[in-house]
Amino acid sequence: MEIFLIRHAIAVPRGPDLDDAARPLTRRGRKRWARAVRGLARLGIGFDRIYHSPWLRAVETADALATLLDGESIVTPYLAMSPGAELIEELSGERIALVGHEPWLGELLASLLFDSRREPSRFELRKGGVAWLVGERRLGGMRLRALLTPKVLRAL
Amino acid sequence: MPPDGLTSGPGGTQRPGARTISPRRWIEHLIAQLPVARAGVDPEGVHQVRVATARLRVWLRLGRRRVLNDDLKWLRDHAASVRDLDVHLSRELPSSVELHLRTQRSGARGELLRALDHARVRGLLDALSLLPPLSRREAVPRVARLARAALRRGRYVVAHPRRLPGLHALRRAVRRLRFALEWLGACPDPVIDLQDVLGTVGDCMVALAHLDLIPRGTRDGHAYRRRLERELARHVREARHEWHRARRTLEEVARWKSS
Repeated sequence: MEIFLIRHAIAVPRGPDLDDAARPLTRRGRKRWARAVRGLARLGIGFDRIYHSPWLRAVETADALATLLDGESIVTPYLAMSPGAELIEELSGERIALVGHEPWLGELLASLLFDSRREPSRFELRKGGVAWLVGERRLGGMRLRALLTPKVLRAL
Repeated sequence: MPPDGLTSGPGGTQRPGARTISPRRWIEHLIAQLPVARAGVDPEGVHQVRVATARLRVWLRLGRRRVLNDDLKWLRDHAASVRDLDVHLSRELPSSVELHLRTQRSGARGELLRALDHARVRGLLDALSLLPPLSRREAVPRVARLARAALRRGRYVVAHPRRLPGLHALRRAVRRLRFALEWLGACPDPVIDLQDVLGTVGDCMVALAHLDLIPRGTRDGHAYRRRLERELARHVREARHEWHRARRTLEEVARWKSS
């Protein structure tokens, strides 16, 4: 199984009048992410499933990513919280994308690589960044094939 | 020009001249109907879950949103399995057929309850509630595209009258168009009438598909199947009549552009 952990693209900053979950992508965020998606396409990357958080910035990020989808998209609240067994158990497919948020994606990355969430702060994906994992769908069962920053993806 | 006006139904009312199209009322309607569907006492709950998810899928299509569509379809498919059997069981049935249908329904209802308990529903409702309204101006040409798709399906049905899958595709296309027009504010009667009669065609086709799952049965069962087939043939003739009535309206909608 290949898992692509993807942090949402650049979104409108937090503010007192805007619920955190309702923050949309900025125009710049959309444009940059669209270029990054083209970079993923040039790498020959496609997905048979996209899982994404229900928060608006993740929905919009997943929507743009859906041009690379040959299968089903699935919304899951487990990508808008600290990752647990329910998320891992839900995942299926051969090549899947998980679109979510920090710090939870960092925690998930540590869990999948090391079966540990002892040091989640050592992993932080940039907005629009991608961690490409390969292996078995279990804690500590995956290895890191590549960490793709948004700048690198846009440059491809 | 697209018509201004008010839609029927609990969720689709759009003020004439509104610039945006909000899904809020249909989301609220879906949320209200989920516990009714779960309780299983009033079959209308399952029906309304199906209707609400179908309408919201069209709203996503008008906004060119790809994600959340599969989630709505997943929920809708579970509701539809139960609803189709409820509709079939409301007919006068031979006892052998009724027994098998009730068994099928029991299975479908179990699947629906598992789906309603799934975290995916919570995620779906949260995500839908966060989406901004659509621009009406951007939706209009997409409605026109749906009308063109319905016209293509209709022409295929006219050219190949014996191919029932063509009718199924036309039914889906007209249903999408109807919901899209209602999102804009109103749907002309010829489109509604066409969709309604295509719905009865669909009910017969689904009922016959249910019978295909029943082992070879009694003389009553065979007689019932033949009755369904005659009913299907009658509804297909009605659908062709309504198609010719609605075609001009579809052609007008197909020419809409955003102003």
